[in-house]
Amino acid sequence: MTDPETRLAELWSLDEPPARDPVFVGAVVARIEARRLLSTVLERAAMAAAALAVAWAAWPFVAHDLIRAGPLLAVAGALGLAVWSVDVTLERLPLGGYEDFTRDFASD
Amino acid sequence: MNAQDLDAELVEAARRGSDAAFERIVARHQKAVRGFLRRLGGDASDADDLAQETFVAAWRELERFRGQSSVRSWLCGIAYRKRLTLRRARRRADVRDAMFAETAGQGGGEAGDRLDLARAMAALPIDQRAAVSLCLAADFSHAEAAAALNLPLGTVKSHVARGRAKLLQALSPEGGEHDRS
Repeated sequence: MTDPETRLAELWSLDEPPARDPVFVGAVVARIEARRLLSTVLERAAMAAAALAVAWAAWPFVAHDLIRAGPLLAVAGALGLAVWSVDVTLERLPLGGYEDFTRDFASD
Repeated sequence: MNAQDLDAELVEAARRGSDAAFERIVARHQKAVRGFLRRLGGDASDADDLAQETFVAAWRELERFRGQSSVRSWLCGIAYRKRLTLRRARRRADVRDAMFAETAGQGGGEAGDRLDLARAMAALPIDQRAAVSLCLAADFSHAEAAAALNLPLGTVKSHVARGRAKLLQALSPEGGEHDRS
């Protein structure tokens, strides 16, 4: 019969998770992405609400000028949107190269 | 590069926003955190779920990590606090699990031993169970466990000694409640 000390170690080893588990790592990454998305959405919703409130309050004072500058504002808005789209696209491209944190992985 | 230096480098990179570095931290320490939570009791899938929440909390708290303890003991500390919070919320489920353990698995052998161990672990106070789980099952030093559990070093040493004695008693031929004949 095995002595209790060895038996204890054996029983604990039965419930050990695997040393490498990409599925678990992926699940953690997915949760982090979900939190990140939620906080971005909340942050932008708050900013949009604030901008809307400012616009609503300022409208009586700027309405006349804005309507007169309408065509110019439309062009500026389109240009701004184009610049923002390029910026967002570049941000997602690994132009600086990926950081290599996979080295020494075999030694873990 | 030793493990602690690599951890420090990964934490630094993760703080700068590297998702790859944080993934690497998860990959390196998932076994320790999940194993710790599983040994604290309850269902393995619940423990894994809590382990995932532990890593999400660690990701949010990266700025607070000062490097005074090892990364794995910092992570196990977060896991332990989460487990304590969950325990307060789930006392009724724990009672139900204990009743199930009382009535299930009368087969003896390995299943009986596992049940004896689960029962003996469940009978330990949570801080003693945590100390035993880290120091005996996961090779944490007493100092590391003390940092993780936020307990004095002497308390951890006595928890480990007492817990170990109780577990060995439960697994000894005359100590278990199962008929091993």
